[in-house]
Amino acid sequence: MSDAIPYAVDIRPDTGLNNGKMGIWLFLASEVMLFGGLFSSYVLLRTGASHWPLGVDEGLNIWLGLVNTIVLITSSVTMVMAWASLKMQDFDKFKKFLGATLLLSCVFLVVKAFEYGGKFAHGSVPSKNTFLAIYFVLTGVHGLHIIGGMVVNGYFWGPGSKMWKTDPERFTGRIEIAGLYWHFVDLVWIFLFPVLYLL
Amino acid sequence: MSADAHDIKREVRKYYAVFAALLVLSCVTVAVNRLHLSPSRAIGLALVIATVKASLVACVFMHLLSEKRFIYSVLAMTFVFFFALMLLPLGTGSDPLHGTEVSQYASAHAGGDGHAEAAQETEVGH
Repeated sequence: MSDAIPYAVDIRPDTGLNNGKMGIWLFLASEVMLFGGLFSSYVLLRTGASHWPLGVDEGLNIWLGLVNTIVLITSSVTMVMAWASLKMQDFDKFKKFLGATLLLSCVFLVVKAFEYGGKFAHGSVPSKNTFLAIYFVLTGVHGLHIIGGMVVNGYFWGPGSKMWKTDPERFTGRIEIAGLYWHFVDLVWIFLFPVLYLL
Repeated sequence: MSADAHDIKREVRKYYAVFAALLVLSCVTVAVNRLHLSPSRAIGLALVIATVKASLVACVFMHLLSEKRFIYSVLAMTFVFFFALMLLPLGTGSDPLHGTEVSQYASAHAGGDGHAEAAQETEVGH
């Protein structure tokens, strides 16, 4: 293991963390700034507009938004349970929980696709007004993050899970890191739902 | 996070409790919206509920309650810049250009006495 990347599992003495965990938190900090910039744009556009429509006025369905909120929160629980299962040395449970996370992410995207489809069918496209423009940008960027998370989680559920047999501690660390990203994506949606659908 | 199986089982109970709290708070968010409060109250309340939910996710699911100092310092710095970004739109009110070019353009296209209105707006803007 001497040729391997150092501090993949071992704790760095200066930070008290392994490199993967330090890396994901720095990445998440940059993600806060990305979504911060978008939320700031939303505030600027909203405060500068003489009239700002409610989400329902533009055809947004609160109940679909609530369903997606519940779906994403549930996926966060299954994600953290996947990590906890590995900590308890239960690989079969891990597969079930991570599989459930993947399934729930698919449900989220399908619901979002229905929402987008309905809007496009009624001519509610980003160029129609400022509200729809920022709605599509915010939910679109968030949706891309969901897809990114699904690719990573899909890898760890499938071919990447072989590492459990060779280096279980490192694999558990990887799932924790993937989980941190996934919880962040959930956290962003927690703010997007009221801001876009309710207020 | 170093925890043995026993600690993890205790953590799992916490995860399910937070899950239940998040579901309830999500429904509360929608229920509050049905009360038809004034816009400022509705926005304030919805953001408070969202912040509580986000804190639960960050503290429990992301284990922020028991993290290392390095992570706290990274997040502290991030949130300073994040709040600066959030306050940025407020700065537009004190923008010296506010109420000049845009108003002139708007007045000219409205077909009224654009120059008089623009001059007035410019004074207000400054």
